[in-house]
This record gives sequence, C-alpha cells and structure tokens, in this order.
Amino acid sequence: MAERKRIELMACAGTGCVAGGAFQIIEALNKELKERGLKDEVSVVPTGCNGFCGQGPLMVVLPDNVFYGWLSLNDIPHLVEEHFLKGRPVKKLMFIPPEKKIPLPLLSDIPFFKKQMLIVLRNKGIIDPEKIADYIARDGYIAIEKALIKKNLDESKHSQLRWWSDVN
Amino acid sequence: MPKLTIDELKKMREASKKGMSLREGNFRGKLIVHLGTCGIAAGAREIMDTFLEELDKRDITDIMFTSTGCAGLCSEEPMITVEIGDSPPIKYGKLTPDKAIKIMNQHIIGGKVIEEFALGMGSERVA
Repeated sequence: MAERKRIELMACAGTGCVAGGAFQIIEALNKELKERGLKDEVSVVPTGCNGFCGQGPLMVVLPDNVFYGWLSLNDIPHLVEEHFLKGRPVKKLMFIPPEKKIPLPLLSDIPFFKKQMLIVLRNKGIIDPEKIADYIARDGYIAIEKALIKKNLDESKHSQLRWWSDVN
Repeated sequence: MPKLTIDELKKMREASKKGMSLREGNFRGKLIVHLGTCGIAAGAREIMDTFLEELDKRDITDIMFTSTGCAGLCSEEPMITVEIGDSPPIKYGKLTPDKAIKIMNQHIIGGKVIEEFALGMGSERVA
C-alpha cells in the first residue's frame, strides 16, 4: 500500500461548522471509510474556518477541489460509497447558487470564493490547526531566515522587535 | 529547550511536505482511474494501487491522481484517462499492472502517448 493518500477530505472544524455538527460528521466519515476499507487511501483532515460558514458543516475534497456543504450524518454513507469508492461526485451535496439551480462542483467555481485572493489566509482550509507540522510544511516560521540572514541584521534591529537573545 | 536552527526547520518543512502534496494544488497533469462498478469488477483498484505506489516511489507530486465513474465503455475496463498539460486527454483500456507501469514511464514521465494501449482521445466531463 502506497504511503500517499489518494484523497484528502478537508473537513471544516471552524466554530460555525462545529455548531452545525462538524465533529459528528468527521467521526461518521472516519467510521464509514474504515468500514469500506478506504482508511489507508482517504484521510479526513479537520481544518480551521473555511469561510463559507453559511454552507456548514462543509468539506473540500482534494485533489479535485470538490466542495460539499450542508452535510448531515445521513449523507455520509452515500457520499463515501459514491464519491470516494466509485469516483462519482454527489451533486446533491454540492453548492447550488440560488439564482441558477445548477450545482457547482468545484470550490473555485463558487462565486463566494472566486474573487478571493488569499494572502494572510493562504493556508485557510489547507492545514490542520492542531498539527504544527502542517504549518511548517507551508513555510511556517521560515520568515525568520529572511529577517535574520537575508535582510540586513540592522534592519531587523531597527524594527525594534525583540527576540530570544534580548530577553535572556 | 534546545534552539532550532534554520536548517533544522527547513528539514522539518521538507519532511512535513511529503504527506501534503495534494494540498499544494500545482498539478501539471491529471491521471484519472475509472472506478465505476464495472471498473472495480475488472480490477481497477489494483491498477489504482499500482499507480499510487509508482507515484509514491518516484516522488511525483505534480500529477493529480483522481477517480471518476463509468465512462460507458465497460468492456474496456479497467480504464484510465491521462491528461498532461493542455494536450487532449488519452484513454487507456484493458489495463494490467505491467501496462500501468509502462504508461507511467513513457506517457506520464516521458510525455509520449503509448498508441498501442490507447483507446482514443476525449473525456466525459466531471459532474
């Protein structure tokens, strides 16, 4: 069995989604994946707030970037079988714009996300906030190199930021 | 607590990155396994495992590996569709793990379509 996961389910565990039952959804997903023997291929990653709280509980399926919203516990077995076992995305759970009534499969097609350019929030929905390794993998803390080595050290001192050696 | 050097931080970053390639989203191509009932019955999961292992072994992270349903050509299963860059998608049928490895080497890595195994060009749309 390959080490790499075939699919990652970025399940929103922000406040809004948790209030809507995200933890129960995550538990149900894990249970269903285990029963279907997909546990080694598909992983569920709890993420911070995705932003589209109005659609919560929600998740984003990677690598395809399929967005599912308003998930309920009853949907999970069908979803796991159809999409993750048989490769057929479930239209019923996709975002349906009120004016068009046609499901939009991909997160990037949804008007809410379409015009967003993430800068500070570029890791939004991509890292597990409880795993520091996820942050480090996405260049976490690496700016210190720029501050201390690549930029002139005086410039850093001039900023009057204090660091370890100052305090000790 | 011992101090962490920047080199150590970078090592940690590279190690952590390994399992997270799906989240980077920089893909130069797409490899789609047909996992409909017919595909699964014909052995698509074995083909899928072969590709996953090969991608893993070669540390290829810029190919999106995904699945789809039945394409309507059940007699040709197990099937895959390969899309590299802007070139039209190529469908391969009646695959075996050996053929899968050849496709991996020649088409996905080498960029050359293996006409002998190819069914044709074209793809159904997602959803």
